[in-house]
Amino acid sequence: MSSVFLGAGLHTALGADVDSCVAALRGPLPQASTVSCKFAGAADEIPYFLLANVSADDPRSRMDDILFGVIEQALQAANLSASQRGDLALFLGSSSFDIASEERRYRQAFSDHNTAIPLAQAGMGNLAEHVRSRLGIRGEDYTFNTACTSSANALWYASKLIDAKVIEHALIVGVEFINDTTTYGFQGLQLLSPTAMRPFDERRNGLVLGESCSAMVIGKSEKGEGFRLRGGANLCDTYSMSTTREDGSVVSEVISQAMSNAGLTPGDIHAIKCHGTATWSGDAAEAEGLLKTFEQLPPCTTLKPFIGHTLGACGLAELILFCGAIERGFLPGTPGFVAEEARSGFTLNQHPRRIEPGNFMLNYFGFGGNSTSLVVSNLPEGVA
Amino acid sequence: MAPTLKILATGSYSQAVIEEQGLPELKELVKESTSANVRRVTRFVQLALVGAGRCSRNRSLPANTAVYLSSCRGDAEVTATLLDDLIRRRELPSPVTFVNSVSNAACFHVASALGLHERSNFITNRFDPLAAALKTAWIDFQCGEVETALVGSVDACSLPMRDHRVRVEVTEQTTVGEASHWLLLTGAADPRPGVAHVTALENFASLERLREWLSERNFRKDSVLAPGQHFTVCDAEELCAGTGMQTFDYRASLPHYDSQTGAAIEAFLEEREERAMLHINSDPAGRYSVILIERS
Repeated sequence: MSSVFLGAGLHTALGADVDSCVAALRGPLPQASTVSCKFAGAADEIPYFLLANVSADDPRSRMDDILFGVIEQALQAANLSASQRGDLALFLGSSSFDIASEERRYRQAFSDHNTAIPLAQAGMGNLAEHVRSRLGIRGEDYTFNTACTSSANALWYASKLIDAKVIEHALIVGVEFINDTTTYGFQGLQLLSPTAMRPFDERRNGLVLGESCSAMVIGKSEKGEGFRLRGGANLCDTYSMSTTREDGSVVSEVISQAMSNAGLTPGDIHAIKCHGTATWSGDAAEAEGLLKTFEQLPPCTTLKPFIGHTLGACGLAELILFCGAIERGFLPGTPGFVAEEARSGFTLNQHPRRIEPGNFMLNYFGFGGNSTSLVVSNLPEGVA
Repeated sequence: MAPTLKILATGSYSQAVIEEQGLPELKELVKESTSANVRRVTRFVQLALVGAGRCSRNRSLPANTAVYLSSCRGDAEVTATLLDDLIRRRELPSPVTFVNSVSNAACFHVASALGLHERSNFITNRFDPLAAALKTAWIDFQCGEVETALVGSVDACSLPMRDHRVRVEVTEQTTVGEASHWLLLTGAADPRPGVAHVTALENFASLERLREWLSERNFRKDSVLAPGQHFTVCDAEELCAGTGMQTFDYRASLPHYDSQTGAAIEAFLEEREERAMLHINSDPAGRYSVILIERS
């Protein structure tokens, strides 16, 4: 009996809970907000998918309000006892953790005196410790920082430790909050779209960043119903620090390994959630890799046009959105996105379409060559 | 479930840093240990390369060797540079600096320099980063997904030392250092000779549960107890009482850096005669992590 997804919480630009976020996937593509750029010579406004229904003030209290609210959604949905909550193991994945708080602290300190210290509160595990401490969790905790695959990897390892009976329940958390370091880092890389995010489209011109906070509780279930992580794979692509190998070979390899790990073949996959960053080379490599692997490509969709690229949090946030949509019987669509002619065999699902329970693939590719593919299923266990 | 991982080799670099002398030069060490000419990388990446390269001892590792890296503070220098770019100098960060700020940049460079094509992961924990990375590697071995792995921890120093001391939370009187500790691991069934085995990786929610586990195992004088950074020698001596186990204070000669668990393993294998070392770490909440190393 493998671990199942017992409860989830989510806050994105689409809404402040799973239901509202998933419901918005049936509607038209949302327009991103904009943030003002503070640097001369750069664009004045940068599109950004900011969290719905919250105002930006003190980054720390804003983060805590959202983070613990989302975690509580997941814990309540999972219906854990107080004792089970205390014994949870924690797996946190993020690219930027609480850097916004550190930016604010340093900015204030620097305005007070010229000798202020940048990154005075350094600690990769600090945010997990903050969560663990506030919730009174006494299980083990892990922090994953592998760029855009961070929370996907966190979920995968949590699931494996449960299946090996090392832990009983795990709380997986993915966070990405707006911060200057990330925004202007991507601006400097010239990877941001000045308009909108159009993954795989022949007119694509870069990504739009987004905030998200997601949480999921997984564990064994007597009923064995619902979604579960059926398999996964990870590879380090040493082609380039910032882009996937262009011939799609590593994409093909990692998704093939994920299917093999799940005990499945390409014909068993019912739909694919692509990574789809809307960068020219990234999407080309992903499409190439999928076409290499699937003789007949199942329906493909992307979720970043709805919530932006939420970086280290996208693994879990997009998985919750995707599974939420499938549970409600539909595969999200991205109307009007047309793949470039050279990728003539690659098309995206255009409109929400009805879909039955099945096996689904979710792909993630990050800086540093980190490539992760997960296979989830809501078929009864033992059914391919 | 008793994990068994075979340690094929260890590789380390650790050095006290004296501000007046500047940071030790690493470029030649990187070249010596990896045979790679790696340019435009941060000090954190250089340290990872030196430690991982020494662990591989210039032998050709199988391409399917996985990389698991841990660190308490990560590449703090590069993140501090980004903050200085944005706030002090009021300029956009350089693309190279920004891309190098991802923690798994070091995994990328280790895999690239050593010709590896497997999974990589950056995993940490506030109080025992290497223990978290080892557990992650172990579950991959357990699932049959990985056959060989490099597992390491890296702590880099940056100047000015005043800033670094604030980041690592030590006083001016403390000697500060930097380090890179790596293990080359394989499964227990691997026929290659190993230097030791990792035979337990446990986490306990309380001292009571740790004591229960210890009482079931009957550690004797052929074993030593190495107290981790957040577990005092005094606490270790109390746990040893009546067992015949000695405490192994490997930390007494080390400069301060955050992830010293790897130093314990290497020091045990090089300096001690006992059959086994029990490394116990704790955190302020009273949780405990245990690594048991048994000589081959």
